[in-house]
Amino acid sequence: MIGPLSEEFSWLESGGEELFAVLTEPPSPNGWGVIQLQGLPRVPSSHRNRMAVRLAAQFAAGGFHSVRLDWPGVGESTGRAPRDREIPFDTHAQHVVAASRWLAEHDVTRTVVVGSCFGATTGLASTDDLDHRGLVLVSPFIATVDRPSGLPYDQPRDLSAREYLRIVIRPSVIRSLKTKRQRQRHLDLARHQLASLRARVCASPGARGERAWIDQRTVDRMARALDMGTPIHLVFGAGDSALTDFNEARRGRLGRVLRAHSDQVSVTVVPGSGYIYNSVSRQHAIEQLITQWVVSLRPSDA
Amino acid sequence: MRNRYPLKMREREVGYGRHGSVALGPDRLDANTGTVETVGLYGAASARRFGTRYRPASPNGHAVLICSSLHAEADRHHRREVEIARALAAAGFTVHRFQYRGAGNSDDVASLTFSSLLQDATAELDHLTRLRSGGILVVGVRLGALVAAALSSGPATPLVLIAPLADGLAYFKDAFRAWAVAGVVGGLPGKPSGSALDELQRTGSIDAMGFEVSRDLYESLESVSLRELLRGVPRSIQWISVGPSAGRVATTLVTNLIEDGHRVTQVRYPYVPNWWSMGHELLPGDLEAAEMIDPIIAFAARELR
Repeated sequence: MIGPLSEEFSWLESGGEELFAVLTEPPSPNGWGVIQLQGLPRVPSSHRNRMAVRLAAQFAAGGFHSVRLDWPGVGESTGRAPRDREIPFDTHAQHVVAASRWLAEHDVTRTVVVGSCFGATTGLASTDDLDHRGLVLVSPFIATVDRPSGLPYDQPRDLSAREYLRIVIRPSVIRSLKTKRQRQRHLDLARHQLASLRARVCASPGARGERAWIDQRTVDRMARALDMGTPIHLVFGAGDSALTDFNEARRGRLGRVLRAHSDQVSVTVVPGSGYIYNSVSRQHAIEQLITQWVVSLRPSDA
Repeated sequence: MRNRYPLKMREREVGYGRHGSVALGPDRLDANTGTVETVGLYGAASARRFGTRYRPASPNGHAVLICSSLHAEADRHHRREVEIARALAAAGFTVHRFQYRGAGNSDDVASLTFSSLLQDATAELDHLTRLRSGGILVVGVRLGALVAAALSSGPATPLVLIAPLADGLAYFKDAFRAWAVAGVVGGLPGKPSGSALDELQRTGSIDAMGFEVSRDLYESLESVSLRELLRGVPRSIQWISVGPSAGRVATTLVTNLIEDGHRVTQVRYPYVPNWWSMGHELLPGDLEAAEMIDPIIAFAARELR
């Protein structure tokens, strides 16, 4: 059971919207603050099964302030939620800056981001403007929207583009595409293969062999944060599609970046399949993992 | 920031100063509608409900209380309730929304039961009753429809029921299904075989797609029925079905309610929500309440005039 928390509410003005936000104050502040960022499209600031509230309580017990907020168009905030293929990491990063400013008004200038899915990648994007002391990225988006949904990874990886194209233009294959969904999927795969081919032909040496849909801005930001000395804790569910993307990205430049900063990066894969938060026991395990990691960031004599 | 009044002054203004512990956020003035929104924790210390109050620019004297559902259903419908509340306030109604203790941003509760849900809703309704000069309408969503029906707010209180549950067990039908699906697709370690009810009885709770659903809640709801809650007090009811058809159970229930003397008008909202879905994808109608808003405002205006 969560004990009563000392909480303050606000409407953060950011990007032309008013964002509902909750600040949890610890009984004995240590000057550090955690910014909790949820996924989209409909995850409220309290998060699934009140995960963010429980985390706020645990952070407060350790002396950390924390802020959680509703993204535009979600929960109590104003605005419109992004839809379809919109993933506005860059525009939403300004809201993380607004949350950071609110913490600064409470004399909290050392911040850690704890973000899930969209919130993780947006938290990473906020490093363009903010110097966080640590990043917990749970199932961050590594792929761009160009990655075909439901891509059978192993199949195209094992085929060359020529072999693949030879298969997809077979009349028997085309005749087998009876439904709109099948045709769309076929088209997506074809587009993906062409994009991969284009990437291989046109890529700079650094990106050669990289999947075209790996978001290089995310890799850049991770590299820059690590160069700046920011520790990163990556958390994935074993059956999470984000882990598949991450493993794919790790074959290329991201892998080299992470190896070069291996003392700053930790990766935890939580057992179980499906959506990472679809189990209460897994939520508790992740909460414990996050709390311990965040608490460990702060020097004991700080 | 936008805290335009000292806290004590605002407490007095909204009438909370003598009614328990209050932690209010700053007011938000909606530039388009003139509505003032106040978020805060209301109620006795350690048992506070998070709520949002909507004060219209031109109050018509009437008030609306929105009773939401729980768990995945509450998350799924949250934004619609915000949009419905804002639209009602823009039309002149004073509106209260709240989260039950043990849910959302509210304080925790030792045992989340139908009784605790009802206590929270009653406290909200009592406060709203003091504020308004005209009538009150109660909106109940899914499980919240049972809460709305159980509120003893007088015979004249009209109800808007959005995708209402016929009884308490209907809630657990969906929760048990989510538990079973999670067991299949989630690959959860240590998930026992057997029925969800066995698991609930044995361990005291089940994990329904990442939501903890307790035996206390089950036992408090297993004999609760919408028809019985409404029996004896004829009401005006707007019944909003969600999905392409109302469904056999709903059709029978509406017929029964009309037989019981209630005046029931039906509205159909075309989209099919998957109340316990885990998907990240946007389903049609997930985020927008536009098609629900006009009928609700028209009903409220007609019933509370």
